[in-house]
Amino acid sequence: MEDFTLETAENVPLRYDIATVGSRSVAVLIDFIIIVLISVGFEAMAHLSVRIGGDILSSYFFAIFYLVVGTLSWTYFVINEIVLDGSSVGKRLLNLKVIKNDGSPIDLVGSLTRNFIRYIDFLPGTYLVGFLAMMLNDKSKRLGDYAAGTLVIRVRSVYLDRLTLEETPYDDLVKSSPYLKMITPEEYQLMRDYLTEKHRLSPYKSFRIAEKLAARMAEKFRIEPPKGHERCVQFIQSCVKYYE
Amino acid sequence: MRPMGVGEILDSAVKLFRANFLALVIAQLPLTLFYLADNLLDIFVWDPVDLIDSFLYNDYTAFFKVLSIMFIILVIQVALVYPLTLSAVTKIASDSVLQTPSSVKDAYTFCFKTWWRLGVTNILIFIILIIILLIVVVIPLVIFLAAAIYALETGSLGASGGILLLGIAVTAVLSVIPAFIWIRWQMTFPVAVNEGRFVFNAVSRSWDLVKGRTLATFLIMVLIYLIPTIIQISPDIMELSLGRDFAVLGWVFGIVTQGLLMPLVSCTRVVVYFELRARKEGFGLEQRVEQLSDDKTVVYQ
Repeated sequence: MEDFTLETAENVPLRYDIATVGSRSVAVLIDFIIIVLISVGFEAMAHLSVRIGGDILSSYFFAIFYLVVGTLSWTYFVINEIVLDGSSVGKRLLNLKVIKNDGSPIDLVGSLTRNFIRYIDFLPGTYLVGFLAMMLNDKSKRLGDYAAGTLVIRVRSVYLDRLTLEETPYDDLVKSSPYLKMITPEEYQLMRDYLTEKHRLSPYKSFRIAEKLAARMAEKFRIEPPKGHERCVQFIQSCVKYYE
Repeated sequence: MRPMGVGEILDSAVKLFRANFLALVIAQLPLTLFYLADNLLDIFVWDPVDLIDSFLYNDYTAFFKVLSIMFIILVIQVALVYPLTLSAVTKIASDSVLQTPSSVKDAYTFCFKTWWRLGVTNILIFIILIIILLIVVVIPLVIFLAAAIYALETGSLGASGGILLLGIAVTAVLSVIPAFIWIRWQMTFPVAVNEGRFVFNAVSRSWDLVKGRTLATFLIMVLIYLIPTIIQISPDIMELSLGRDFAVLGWVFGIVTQGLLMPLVSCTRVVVYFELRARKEGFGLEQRVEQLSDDKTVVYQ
């Protein structure tokens, strides 16, 4: 997987997933649908103003209409990126965010620049220029990103782990075992992932994985491997609980 | 591989495509060349307009001669070139996901061993989809069209328009049926290449895999098909905005898109396939467990 790693002043590496043309094209499609809807709404209101307010009001309204619609594809993205902290509605739906090359949030000048260059990226009306630019560099930057020194990343959803580990018959054995420290971080992560995802799996698959994991742990703890699905899961739960 | 959202799947597919770009484009080459030859025949040997003319002017010998050559080309494409190329591209992408990279030669060697089963699988899908499309979309549309023409000839313009609109609406609704089947069968080739299942086995396995994720899979496949499609129409947009004829450029774009960007669709199919397996069968977990089991040294370190 391509990613972008940024070294902080404290030498802490921050790893970002780069958003490629795949998710960005969907985000921009959603944004353009919104832009079209806003334009259509403004046009309807402009025509309505002729009936309600007469010529004077409507001429003001039409002036605003042309200003808004004419600059909408630019202002929409700028306003969104400033208000939504580097996202637009489309980007937010796909968990994407614009940041500066140094990892800091995008500012007004950066947003104005990258979205102004969007007109070039959009050429010849199909985003061909932007598409080629994004495909030709490993950070998936379009010309606007180069000009503004920005990149688009995937925001990882940090969700609270709701893994509840109940009491099991293996708790005492695992807790007091000197072999507990032999569990490697990889094994712990795998057992944890299994417990989080087991509800998606078919009973057969779940049992197969649990059986193998439990056998592996039993070998470490130098005990007989547990028999049956439920017992295997309980043993794994105890291992995860006391490793933590 | 783990369960992912739509955006993440699309990103993974693009990353997979970029990482294996050269191998994928070379593997796609037979289909690209076939497409190129087909286009050249269309331009220099027979023109579709001439073909219709020969039928209209009762020159049936010329008409059926061209039609039979077209049929043979279609058979070669459906039974041989398309399944082999698609499988080779799928093999390269799949092996890259499984971190056991294979070359273009390896991929084609693998696919040639099972070429007839891959061909039969593709013919089956092609024929069934064509029949369904005919029954639920083309025939109703033709009936509505005939009724609209009849209404127009009898002088009822309003009724004709109404029938036509109704026909379009009914056809649009009925299109859901072939679209549904098409999406449920999208994983057939990844299944054939990775699991060695063919024909009905592959089709039914694909159906089961996509089941429960039909809409998400449909969305992903439509979105990924949109990318080459939009890029391909660039010359048409230029033609509209500049008012100049870009027919040759349009033709070149068609070939280039077919050759360079269609492997992206295959990569997406592969990523969706492994994602579905991870989601439904714990594929990633199972793989990690296997890796741990193989690594005996870690047990008593």
